[in-house]
Amino acid sequence: MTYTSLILCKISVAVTSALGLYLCTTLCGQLSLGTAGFMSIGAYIFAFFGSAVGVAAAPALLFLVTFPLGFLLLRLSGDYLAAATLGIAELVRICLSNFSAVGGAGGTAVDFRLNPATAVAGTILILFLVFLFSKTKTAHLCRAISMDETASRGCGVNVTFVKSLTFALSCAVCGFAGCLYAGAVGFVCPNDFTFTRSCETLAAVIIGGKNPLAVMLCATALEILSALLVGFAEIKMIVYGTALLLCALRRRNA
Amino acid sequence: MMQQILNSLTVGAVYSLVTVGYAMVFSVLNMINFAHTDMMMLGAYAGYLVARQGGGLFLQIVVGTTVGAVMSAVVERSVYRRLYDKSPLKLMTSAIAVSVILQYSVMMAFSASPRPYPTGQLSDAVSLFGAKTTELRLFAVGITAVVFTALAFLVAKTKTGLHIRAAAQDSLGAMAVGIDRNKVISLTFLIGGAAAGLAGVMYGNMYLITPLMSGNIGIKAFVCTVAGGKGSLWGAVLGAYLLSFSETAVCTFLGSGYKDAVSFVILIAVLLFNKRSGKQ
Repeated sequence: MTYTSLILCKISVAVTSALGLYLCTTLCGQLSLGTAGFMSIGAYIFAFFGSAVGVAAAPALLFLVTFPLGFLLLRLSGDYLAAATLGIAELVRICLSNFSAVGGAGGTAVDFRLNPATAVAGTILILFLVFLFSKTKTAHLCRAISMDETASRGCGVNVTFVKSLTFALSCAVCGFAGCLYAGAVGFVCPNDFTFTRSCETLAAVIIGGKNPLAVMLCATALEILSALLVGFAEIKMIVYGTALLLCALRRRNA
Repeated sequence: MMQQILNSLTVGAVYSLVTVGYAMVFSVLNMINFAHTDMMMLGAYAGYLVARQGGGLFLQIVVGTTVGAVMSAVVERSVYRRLYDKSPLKLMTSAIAVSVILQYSVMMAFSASPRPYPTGQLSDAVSLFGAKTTELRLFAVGITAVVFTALAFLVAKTKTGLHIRAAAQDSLGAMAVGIDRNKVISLTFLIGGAAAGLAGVMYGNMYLITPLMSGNIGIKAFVCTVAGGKGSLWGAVLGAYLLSFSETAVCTFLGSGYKDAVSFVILIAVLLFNKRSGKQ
């Protein structure tokens, strides 16, 4: 795999995970810091089951697990949800690091590789699906909830159900991003999926704003930036942080 | 057994120093200050610089505490204050951003590699009830006790403490009776930052410091805050010791690989099963 195609794959991964987080955070107003955790689950499922089955099974499995989990988790509001999802992501990472069956902290090689064209096609598919989803009635309910949860409940919206559904969809998309990552890089280890990755995704989503296309462009730009700043990881993170801070301070609807 | 208890006591002291700032900010603002433990990291690095120049423990503590307090107040004044009346998500996003900027700026200055403080501060071994420890660790427990007694006095007996309690109970009501909310908030950030800076110096004298050390401790301090009942001073101590003792127990019985998992399990359990927590 050439350097350019690896970057292309990484961009697809970043865009896909950002779109996943977009569903939960922008559309529904629920801040999740667990992106990396859900990605790692997808990546590990792909690493062990490979092939087309893995790509389909990982998001489906994540959806099935996180949907009921959402009913429990999304009772929590704002900061607490963020902390709980961060906790789940870190728990997943610690467990993966300690289970020798999945390679422990050293990680594991992935046999089934995806070529860049497949990764890009997968991302475009997700973008299309997210776009479709944002036109559905559920998405409108999500927007209503993100604006005023109590009022939505008062209007008869099944808030918990809608939030859980969106959360599970978001997790499934992040899991899919994990599959793309595993297939493209050919190696997964728990430390590929730290809080830093969740932060990078969050930066793309917050800076991108309300439009999924803008989120896509933003994730792409940030990924290109990090490719240019390879070897200067500190500068990259400082730029991310500054951009995030400026967005929080300046934008009206960040 | 005695050894484990003694270790937990020391670790718990550091945790409580970090937690107290978290808890105080939490009580007046209802905000998870993700950048709070970075004040501890800054304090630890400030102390490290002093120690490398040959400064003694006292000087380290003075410098570390000052750096923690000043930085905490500066961040509050320049960033958070603009966002109090906006959405809590913005406040938290900005805290994450501040945290990332601070961590990676320090990493640029000092590199990511873990650093030890130069040894020599109160490093004599002490034997206590058949368990071994160092003078330094006992000093850490002692200074934590002093700090908490002072804080308890401040909160319970002084007028400033009354203002803090009022703002924590009902910030709108407090403003209505003429309490300067911003001043109270600044003060809690200042006190919290100072305690975190002190914790950083004590931590640095015992363990290795890295620019990213705050991430893990941050979530732990948050766990202590939530487990100890959100925002009360003694709750913070209780939460800190609950965590340090369970961590030591897990280390002993399950192995150290799962040590950091304890805090997350407690966090999720408390959030999910305690009906009252998790509501803003």
